[in-house]
Amino acid sequence: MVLILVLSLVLYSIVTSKVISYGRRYNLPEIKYTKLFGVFAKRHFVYFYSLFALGQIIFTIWFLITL
Amino acid sequence: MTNRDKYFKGQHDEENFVCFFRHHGIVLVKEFTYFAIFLFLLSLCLAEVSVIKDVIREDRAMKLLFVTCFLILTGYMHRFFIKMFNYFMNIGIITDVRLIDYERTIFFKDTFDSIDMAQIQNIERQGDGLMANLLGYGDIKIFLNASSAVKTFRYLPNVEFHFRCLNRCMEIRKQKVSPIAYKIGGGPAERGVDVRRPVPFEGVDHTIST
Repeated sequence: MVLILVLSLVLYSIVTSKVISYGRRYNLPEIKYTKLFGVFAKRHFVYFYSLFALGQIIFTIWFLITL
Repeated sequence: MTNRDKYFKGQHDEENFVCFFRHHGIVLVKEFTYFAIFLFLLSLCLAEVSVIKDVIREDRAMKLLFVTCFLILTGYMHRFFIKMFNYFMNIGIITDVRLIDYERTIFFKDTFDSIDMAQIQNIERQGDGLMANLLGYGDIKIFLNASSAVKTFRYLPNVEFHFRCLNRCMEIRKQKVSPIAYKIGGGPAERGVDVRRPVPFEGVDHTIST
């Protein structure tokens, strides 16, 4: 489980760094029609992704301690 | 002051950004449906986590099964978010000079294709189906002057706006590139004239517009 967590975090860091570097190069103004369902922009998904990664870390550590 | 790299990497000095577009959210409905099922299963597992722990403690095979499930769920979570980011990276940009199709994914694809507005012969809008008309998405086909190639942008949101926007940019660009050829006969594209090399019109009064 620790190995899975480490690999997951490595993948997370690679993906977020690529998304952030893309955002620097393509600084395009978002409007309603460029957002997903008129609401979600790229940065929202970066937050959700970070939340999931954080949740996974907490869950794994807690599971390993209590098991 | 120039516009070089102002809105996107590769923007020219005299190029003005007009708008950009992505696919409509309908292309991700399947992904969101699967993700809702994933979240439902995850919440069920979290609700019964004490039972799961008891089962895992007793049996070694169950431990292996749990780790396998954990691996699959982790992989699925990453796959979902990578697909979301791929959606946001795959864009089309309309400027006053060209139309850019930037197909990009996080790991596998990085294709930058630009079409000069003056090379566009015709633009076709397609919005077939009930959902397309209700939600206002559709396809835009771009027919080029120089070749028989057709560029298709699929599942564009607010397709009417983008169709009008492209048409206007194309008209303005053609007027700039070849103002004389444009004046006669309602634009060079209709008469099959290559706008990059305007044909001289001998004996024609250029001031008269037909």
